[in-house]
Amino acid sequence: MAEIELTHLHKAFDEFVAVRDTNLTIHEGEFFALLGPSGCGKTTTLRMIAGLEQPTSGSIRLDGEEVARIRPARRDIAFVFQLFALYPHLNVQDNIAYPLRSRGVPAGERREQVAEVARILRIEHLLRSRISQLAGGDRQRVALARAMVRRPRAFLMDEPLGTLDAEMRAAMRDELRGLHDRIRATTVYVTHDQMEAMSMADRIAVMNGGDVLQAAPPMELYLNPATLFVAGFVGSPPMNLLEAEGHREAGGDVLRLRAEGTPAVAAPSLPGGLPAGPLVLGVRPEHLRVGPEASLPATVYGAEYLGSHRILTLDSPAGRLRARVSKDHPAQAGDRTGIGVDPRQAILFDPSTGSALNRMAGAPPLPDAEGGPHG
Amino acid sequence: MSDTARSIVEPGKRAKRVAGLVVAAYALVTLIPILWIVGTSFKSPNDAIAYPPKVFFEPTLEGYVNVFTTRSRQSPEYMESLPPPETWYDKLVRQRNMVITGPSRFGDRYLNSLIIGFGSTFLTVVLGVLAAYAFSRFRVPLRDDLMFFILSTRMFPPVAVAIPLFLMYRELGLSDTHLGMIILYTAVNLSLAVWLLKGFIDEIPREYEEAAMVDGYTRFQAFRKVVLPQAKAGIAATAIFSLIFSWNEYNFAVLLTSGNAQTAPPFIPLIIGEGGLDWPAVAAATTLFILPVLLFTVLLRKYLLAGITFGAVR
Repeated sequence: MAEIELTHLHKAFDEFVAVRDTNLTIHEGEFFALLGPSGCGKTTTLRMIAGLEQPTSGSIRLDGEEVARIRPARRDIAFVFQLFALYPHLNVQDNIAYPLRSRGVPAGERREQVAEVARILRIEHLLRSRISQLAGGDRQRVALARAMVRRPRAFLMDEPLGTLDAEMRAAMRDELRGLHDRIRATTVYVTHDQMEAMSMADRIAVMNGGDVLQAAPPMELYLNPATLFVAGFVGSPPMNLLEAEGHREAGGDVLRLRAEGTPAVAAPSLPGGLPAGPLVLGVRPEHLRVGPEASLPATVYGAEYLGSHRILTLDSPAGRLRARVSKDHPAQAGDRTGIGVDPRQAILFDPSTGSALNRMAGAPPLPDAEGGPHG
Repeated sequence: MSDTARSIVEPGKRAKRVAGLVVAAYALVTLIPILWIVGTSFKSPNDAIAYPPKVFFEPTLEGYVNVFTTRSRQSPEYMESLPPPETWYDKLVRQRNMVITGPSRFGDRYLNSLIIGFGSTFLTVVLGVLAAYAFSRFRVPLRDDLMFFILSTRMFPPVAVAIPLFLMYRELGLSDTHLGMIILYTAVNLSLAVWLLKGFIDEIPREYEEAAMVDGYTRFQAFRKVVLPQAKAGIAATAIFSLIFSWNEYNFAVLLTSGNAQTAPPFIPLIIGEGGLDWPAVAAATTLFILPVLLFTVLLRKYLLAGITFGAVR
């Protein structure tokens, strides 16, 4: 098992910058997710760690050893592909044994090691099957077995659940995490599905446009998004983002929403006071108060019943908002009601840079600041 | 009336029968010339030029004997003085008052065809699969322009380059050499080979090689152990197409070969017998000439279909 350290890693394809000057440290035994929309550079980052892509500049260290210029086979890393990349002309047994064969492991030893990973992944009964006979989930298990069989220093997974159906994906999520808890292998997991990243990873790096915007544990990412993009990408429904304006007034700083005829909103307290000028107020759907007594007038546009809770879609002068309320909440579509914001559970963003200006009150302290976008 | 559900794209019974008849008729039309050649190869010279043409005749191997031998006519007295014939073909020749004076050049020409045909096919496939792999996988500068350029070598009539080629080959000492012909046929076939094979290699997911490379192989090993086995349909189809071309090629063979490296196609029509062309011998040579390609194609025919459909149907 190994620590993976990326420093000033940069990759450009002609004019297009796929990964921009990235610094990340993935700790030994960590389940680390790279999360972002397609084209954000997450897969390119993963492929550079594997050696399938040459970085334009920067370094990749595996346990302190510089590997950026050595070929994939020498890095002793396993890669699980989205399409599994199982050889159709070989059966399950031979597919799993393939990495051992390419390294010249003798047949007897091969069989033993294959049997062992097959036992861990509970696919012993499939060893004689052809790949084409397997269901999606089993193919994924075989692909994992092939990755695990030679005990690599780290696992790299590129959307390994991307082609499975929703039910199988949820089951495999638990299985993958359970497997990781047992073997404790350093794992880098690429996905565009925030649910997947949030549910499995110890730490998540959110990427967009080639930049790592924030690398943090799921809870920190959720409560204290470092940028507007992270706030909008993580969470379902995502954080409500309201255009607002800061005013420095004699009686104290006032935060007003951009829309006409809206009341002043209680602002989160910032160390340097509220900056004057445009701001964005971010509030998670579960932190909005919905009721006629609240100050911002709104109309209920839609109400989804989700069993354990309800999601209300509200039209207010400040725009369309989503609120997560209890399953017994009385609001119905068409009702006129009000929305209230708790300043301790809101985050202000600077719209010009996109970065957050405060941390949510009551959120746990940062475990370590390292791995962030700017050092 | 318990018809099971039938897809509307599935042809009906009558349509299938009509299609079968059309195909059978077409096969018959294309097969008649070939059957006629094979038939003629077993005729005597008189039967071969008989009018009206003879469909039923007494078969003889004279044509085959004549292809492989040179003979001379002797006086009846000389024929009388000879010891009895030792072999069946001696006997056959003597019936026409002739004796075998030696082997003909057909064997050499046939061997030349084999060397040049299979040599250029081998070279075409090796170079083609490497080039196609590079075009498919690497960021080759000006890739699309290069691919078009490669294809454009097939866009002019071959006779347009006849004179430059002739001069070039003479200067380079490649005229009438096996190497020269192999290079020429390889150059002509490569364009098709690169296009055909690139299509096949594009269809093989990169992940296979990448997985092999992560698992311990170098790129070349991954190419050999992962890409080649999966591209074998394309390789077989390319080999057939390029063998058919170089085996049958006539124009350049006439132009560039004579004594040493002449292939069978320019040689066959010149087989002269008594009083003009020896038609049974020509037909016998043609029949023998058809065999290797026929055999090769039959052996690899399941890949040929894949080649014609360009990997589109799997």
